[in-house]
Amino acid sequence: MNETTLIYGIVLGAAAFLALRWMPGSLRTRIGLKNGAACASKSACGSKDCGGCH
Amino acid sequence: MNGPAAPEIALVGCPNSGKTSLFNALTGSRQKVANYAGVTVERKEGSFVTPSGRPVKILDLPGTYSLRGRSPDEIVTRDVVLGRLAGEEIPDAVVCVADATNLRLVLRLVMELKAVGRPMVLALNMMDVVERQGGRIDVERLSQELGIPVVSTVAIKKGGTAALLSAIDTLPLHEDPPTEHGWREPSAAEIRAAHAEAARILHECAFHPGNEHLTRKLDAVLLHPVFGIVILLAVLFLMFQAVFSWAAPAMDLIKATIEWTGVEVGGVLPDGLLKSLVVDGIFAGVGAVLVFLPQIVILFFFIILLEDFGYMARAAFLMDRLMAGTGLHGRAFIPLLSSFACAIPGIMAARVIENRRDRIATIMVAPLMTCSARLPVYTLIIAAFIPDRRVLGGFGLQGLVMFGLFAAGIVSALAVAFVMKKLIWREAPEPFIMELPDYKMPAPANVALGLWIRAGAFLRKAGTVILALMILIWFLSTFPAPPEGATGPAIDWSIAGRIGHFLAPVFEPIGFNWQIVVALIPGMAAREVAVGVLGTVYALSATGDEVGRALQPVLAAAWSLPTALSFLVWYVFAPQCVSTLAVVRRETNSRFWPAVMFAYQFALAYVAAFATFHIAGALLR
Repeated sequence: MNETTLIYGIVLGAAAFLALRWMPGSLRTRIGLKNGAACASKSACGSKDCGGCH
Repeated sequence: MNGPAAPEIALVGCPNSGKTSLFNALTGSRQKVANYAGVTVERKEGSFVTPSGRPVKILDLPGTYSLRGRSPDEIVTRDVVLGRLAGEEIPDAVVCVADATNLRLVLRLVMELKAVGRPMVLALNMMDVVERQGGRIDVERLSQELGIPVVSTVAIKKGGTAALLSAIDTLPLHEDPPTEHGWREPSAAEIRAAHAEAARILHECAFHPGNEHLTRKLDAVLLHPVFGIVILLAVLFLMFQAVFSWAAPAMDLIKATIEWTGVEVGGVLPDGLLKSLVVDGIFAGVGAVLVFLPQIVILFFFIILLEDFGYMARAAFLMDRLMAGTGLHGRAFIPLLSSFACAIPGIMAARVIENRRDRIATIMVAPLMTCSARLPVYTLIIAAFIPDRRVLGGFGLQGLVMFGLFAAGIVSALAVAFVMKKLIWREAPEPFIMELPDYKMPAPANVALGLWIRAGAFLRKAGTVILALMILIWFLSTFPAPPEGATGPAIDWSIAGRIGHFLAPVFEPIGFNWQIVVALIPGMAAREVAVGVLGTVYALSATGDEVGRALQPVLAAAWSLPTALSFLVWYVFAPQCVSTLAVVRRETNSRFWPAVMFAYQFALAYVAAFATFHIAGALLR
């Protein structure tokens, strides 16, 4: 695998990861993924009150 | 042929009674989470099998102190219990969960639930804590007084729900609901009578030593109208001083480790794109954020300690007078306090506020409280531009500035609330009643667990969202490559560089250069990413000897002091978080309020940064 292919693979992987992470709940359901509210941080806000709510 | 549907039990109780722990203990992983139709209140349903083999469905209802239903959560609980909520069957039975260490409030709720007329059990949760504290509850007597089965539970222990399961087995489930329930909104006299009856039952059935004497003595000082406020300010001040001074050695160690690893890894890789991605993108970007782990841990150490000690509720009490002056409801304190961690749970916590305008005012100002994601930004700029020296009899100047930024967030939140509630809506605040818990020594294991969870969350975010964002930022800052023979840093030719240069004129009046503008855009996803982006953008902008220098001295050389101050002020006010706006949209069920929030925060940030930049510039001239 050459360096450029590897770089593009990493960048596309990162973009796909973020797209899935921030996909709205309605769209997520429509394309057959697990339902749930869009969450930017998946409890990473660190708040005691965060029940994975966002 | 199908048999009859499994009976449904509603789990009702006061907030923080351990209801959800009990629900989890009963259902394990057999849970379904959704929302009630038309509202943003979470609906949790599960199932379990009783000792006699009977399958039962169970609904975990939002916590409430009564069936009067003042907030959206409480209205859902009331309507489900009364069978009024569209799409919900009236439950076959009710399990009322009580915090056994604080029975008084729940007894009133039990009396209201009894009036509904469904089969019912009272589960005294946390009985182990009552016994550990030397208290006792006469469960049999309590059952006689209330006229319903009463059982002890310890939701967090294996087998702690056995008595409850047996009691559910004895309930007459599957009976037709009565055509008329016996509950109606109680009058003030009936509420007072219920209070008196609850006090009588409590006196007959429970003995709880508590530490009332100590609590009274401490409250005499900590809730004093003058000393109380002075102590609260001193505690907050100490907290921010500690965030700076205690964290320094650990931060230096992490910084040195990341730099050393970056050099070692960079040395192994041949020159080229991959090396640039690893060194300029990942190490410069993610490393710039990771350095702030010790400060996050210290900040939360204080917050958890004060919460466990019982001081946070006192702080709410002390702040109530101040908040009432601005038109905010006393219940707004907890959402605003939660917003110091993150505005999103703070905004969601505003559901406990009954009046819609009070709730919206709280939601609107919650993002002005200084969330933990701002900490890396503040720390970076303060460390680069504010000298590390002692002032005013030994206080660290850097900690003082940090305290000032947190204070600016609080003051601006109160000012915005004042404008909304007193000038636009012209409403008087509703009275605020809250229960102050006894003081207790924080359990080291609980504090350690809390810190572990928060440190883990921060590291997880750095290793996932921030890492992915930094890879994209590196890509946008690297491609397209400059043409042959081009001079200057390659980033000037990149997509990010072009966007930065394009938008720079908008932000030039507030002293921002194009690199800052590039950092603001992904900073909308997560505020602390701005630090990482600055790390990457300046690493890629560097030429010759500048390459590889730590971000802090680079910024100190590249920015003027007015620009740094303007940047700090921008971060106090700016709507720098898309997730917050999304949650406001969800919680208000409207596009109008997130738009208002974005507009007023942007305007406030721009005006404040503009004033800061020009005043600081004039003073330093």
